[in-house]
Amino acid sequence: METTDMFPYPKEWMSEDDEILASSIREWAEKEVIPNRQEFDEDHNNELIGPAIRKLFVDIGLQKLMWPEKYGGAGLNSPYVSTTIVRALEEVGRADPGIGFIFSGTFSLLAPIAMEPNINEDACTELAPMFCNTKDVRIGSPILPEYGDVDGINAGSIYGRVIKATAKNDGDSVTISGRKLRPLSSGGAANLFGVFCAAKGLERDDIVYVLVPADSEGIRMEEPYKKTGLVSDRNADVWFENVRVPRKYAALQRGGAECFKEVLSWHGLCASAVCIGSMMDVYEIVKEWGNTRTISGKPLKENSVDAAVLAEVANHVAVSRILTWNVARMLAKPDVYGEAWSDKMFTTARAVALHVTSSAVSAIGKAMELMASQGYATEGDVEKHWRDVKTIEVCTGKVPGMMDIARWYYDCKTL
Amino acid sequence: MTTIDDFTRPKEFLSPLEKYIGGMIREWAENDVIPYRRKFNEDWKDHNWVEPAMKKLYVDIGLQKAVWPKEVGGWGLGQSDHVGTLMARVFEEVGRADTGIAVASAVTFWPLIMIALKPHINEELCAEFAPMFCDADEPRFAANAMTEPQGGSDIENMGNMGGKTITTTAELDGDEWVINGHKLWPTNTGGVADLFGVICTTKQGSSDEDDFAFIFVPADTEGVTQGEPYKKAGMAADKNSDIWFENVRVPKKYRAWGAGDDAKYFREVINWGSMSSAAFCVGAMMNTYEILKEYCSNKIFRGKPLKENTAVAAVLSDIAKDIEICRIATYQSARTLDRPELYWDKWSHEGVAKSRAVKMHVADKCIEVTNNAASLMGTYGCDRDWDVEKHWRDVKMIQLWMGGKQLCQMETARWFYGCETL
Ligand SMILES: Cc1cc2nc3c(=O)[nH]c(=O)nc-3n(C[C@H](O)[C@H](O)[C@H](O)COP(=O)(O)OP(=O)(O)OC[C@H]3O[C@@H](n4cnc5c(N)ncnc54)[C@H](O)[C@@H]3O)c2cc1C
Repeated sequence: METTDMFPYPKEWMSEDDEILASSIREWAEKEVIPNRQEFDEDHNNELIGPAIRKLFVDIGLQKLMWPEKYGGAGLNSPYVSTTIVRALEEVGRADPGIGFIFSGTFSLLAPIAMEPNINEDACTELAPMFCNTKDVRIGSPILPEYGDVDGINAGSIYGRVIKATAKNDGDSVTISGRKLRPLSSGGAANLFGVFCAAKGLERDDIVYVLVPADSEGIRMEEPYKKTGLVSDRNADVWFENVRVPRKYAALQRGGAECFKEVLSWHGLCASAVCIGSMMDVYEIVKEWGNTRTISGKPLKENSVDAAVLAEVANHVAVSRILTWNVARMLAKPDVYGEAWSDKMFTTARAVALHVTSSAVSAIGKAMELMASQGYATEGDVEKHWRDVKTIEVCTGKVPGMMDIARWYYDCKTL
Repeated sequence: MTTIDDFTRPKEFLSPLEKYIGGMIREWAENDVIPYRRKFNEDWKDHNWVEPAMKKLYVDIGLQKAVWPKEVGGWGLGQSDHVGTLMARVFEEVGRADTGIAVASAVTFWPLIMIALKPHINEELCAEFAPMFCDADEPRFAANAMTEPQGGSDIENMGNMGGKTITTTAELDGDEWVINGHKLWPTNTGGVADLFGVICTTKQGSSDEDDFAFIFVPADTEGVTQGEPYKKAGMAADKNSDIWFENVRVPKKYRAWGAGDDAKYFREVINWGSMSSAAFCVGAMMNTYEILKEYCSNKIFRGKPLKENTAVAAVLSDIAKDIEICRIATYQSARTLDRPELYWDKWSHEGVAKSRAVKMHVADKCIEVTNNAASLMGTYGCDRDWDVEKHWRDVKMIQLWMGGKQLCQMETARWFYGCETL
């Protein structure tokens, strides 16, 4: 039986098109990624990763997926896209969580302006062609508020995080400033940033979400920093020095907090799906190892102590998958479960993302326990997944995530 | 201000030399390793950054002479009553800087336990091999070749398997051992080591401890071939590769002790390996504590350092608690090696089980500590510039090596519960 069928997920929520997309991604993974991924760490000139991303984003067309049809996109911009996205990202994550994470940022950044029912026609008209009328890869990079700052900068705060960037009213434009901002992903490769800013003199709210094309004057993207995993995702700190963008790029008709929760709800779903793909790949690898490795005179999996660890691996995958698909369904049915930006949906999506990402670190760590040196060696194909999911987990923000959950479930007022 | 030196250890166990030697290594770590260690990851194959640091530690400080008897030019620590706790301190300090260098140093000492530690000092072999390490102004490494392609755990599981799965054979031909086999993964391979301790069998498939042989093989002996180093998740300062032995001939006297005693003292090797692994972990955890303390003191949230936030303080507290407990346990484990008359023979099954229990606990905690520290730091936790992620990647292997966690569990259960078939 195929691994994707072994771990339960509610199939009645999926369409035939979703399966078609997933199988074209599987084909892409087998051809473009899996044979090369052990070399990704040393692909300094982007010779392996670049073409693989291009095939997925441009040829298969993921970068158009969520733009409305009338602006040249694939029109999957209703909340129903959630199950499509999860199935697609499971397949991407199975091959390379880093590419999955790039797409997670690119997709969720657009939710506040392109997702029904809040389509911002002005912003879509201007920005969709960047992604839809091109043969080049286009990447989005969300810049979220951080949990604390070394210089104590606190231009504003939102849901227990500090906002370091500001957006100033400048007539027809908005001027963005912010030093050394660390995006969630792709800071060194982005074409479009989605930045949460403290609003200065703007009519709306104290927080505003602004889309900023990366080629705007005054933006400095640092060299990508080296990190544990997700090497495909070139993340870097970004500086904005009086960057002027047209006023219509600011999501002024929506509250900043609302956009923040919407982006994070969707991003949590995407990150969870990527981790499930990664865990499923490791499950297959450790299964093969358990069948063929001999310990104490019998197959490893027939030693009860090892079987118990194998069970933990499978358990993490099974439960995480059910949870993630349920969040996808909840996001698809705002009439039943609340909007993506409601406190309730945001909390559920955070809780599941925290659970699934840390389950992935645990499950893959357990698989490594059984594979010993082979698990630790790059050629064993497991250690990269382990580093990748850990990097995703830290990006989900453990302490602020816990505070999000406590805030909603216990009505905390000061967190 | 509280520092890493405030983590508790039993002071009455410490060696009179430990302040001096520990201090020198601390200084070396600060000057020669910590500023450069972020470059180690890319340097895994060439060791351009690692080698100068190794040279300072091995040659300038002189660690490569440590266990050899004074009569043959060494420091004579093998005859000391404090070698266990002194080595715990040394490995903790090295591990604080880099657990890859810690394992490379400890393994240089590891096979020598067979011949250079009292009460079983093999004077003939010490005289033969000590000059390689003591009369050198270049770093010299040893390796302990146990693991084979079909598996490492069963080879180390002497209590149950008795060496039955070893396929590297040693045959006596006149006055020479002829060795054939394939080992993989030993620390300090890939062209690094000058001397191997090779685990062999004199009768393939036998689980009689008399057939277990520990034979020294200089790396330049004809018939020895080493492969290229493997790429791995961390521990870049340690090179690991294949070694092939093809009709390798060494003098008969290169077998450490002979039938029965080789297996017996090999258990002591395991015991030491476990204690040293725990010490590396304590060092890595203490450094994680330092980094986290800096991060959480300087990063401000709502006008207060992060550490003043109660949710953060709770995580920080768990980390300090684990280091406190692991450090005490590690020094206690080391002390048992220094006072066998009070505890147990260093080569007893009891010693192996108890040191494996400590290693398992400390390695698990170390993974948890570095993992939680990285999570607490958010995107900075996976940023190489902060070094916590390096420790997290490196220390995972400490849990996996020497037969992995499950072998530790089986050996602990076997001794404490009298299990007979594990
Ligand atoms: C950085 C590094 C340094 C190393 N240094 C050395 C060295 O110096 N010398 C050397 O010889 N090797 C060394 N190794 C190899 C290491 O010690 C072995 O990987 C380890 O002993 C496990 O062996 P294996 O990988 O063959 O796994 P296997 O033996 O195949 O074991 C697989 C898994 O089986 C489980 N298992 C083990 N025993 C039992 C049991 N009794 N019952 C049930 N389950 C069990 C464990 O989970 C284990 O992890 C090193 C490896 C690395 C990466």
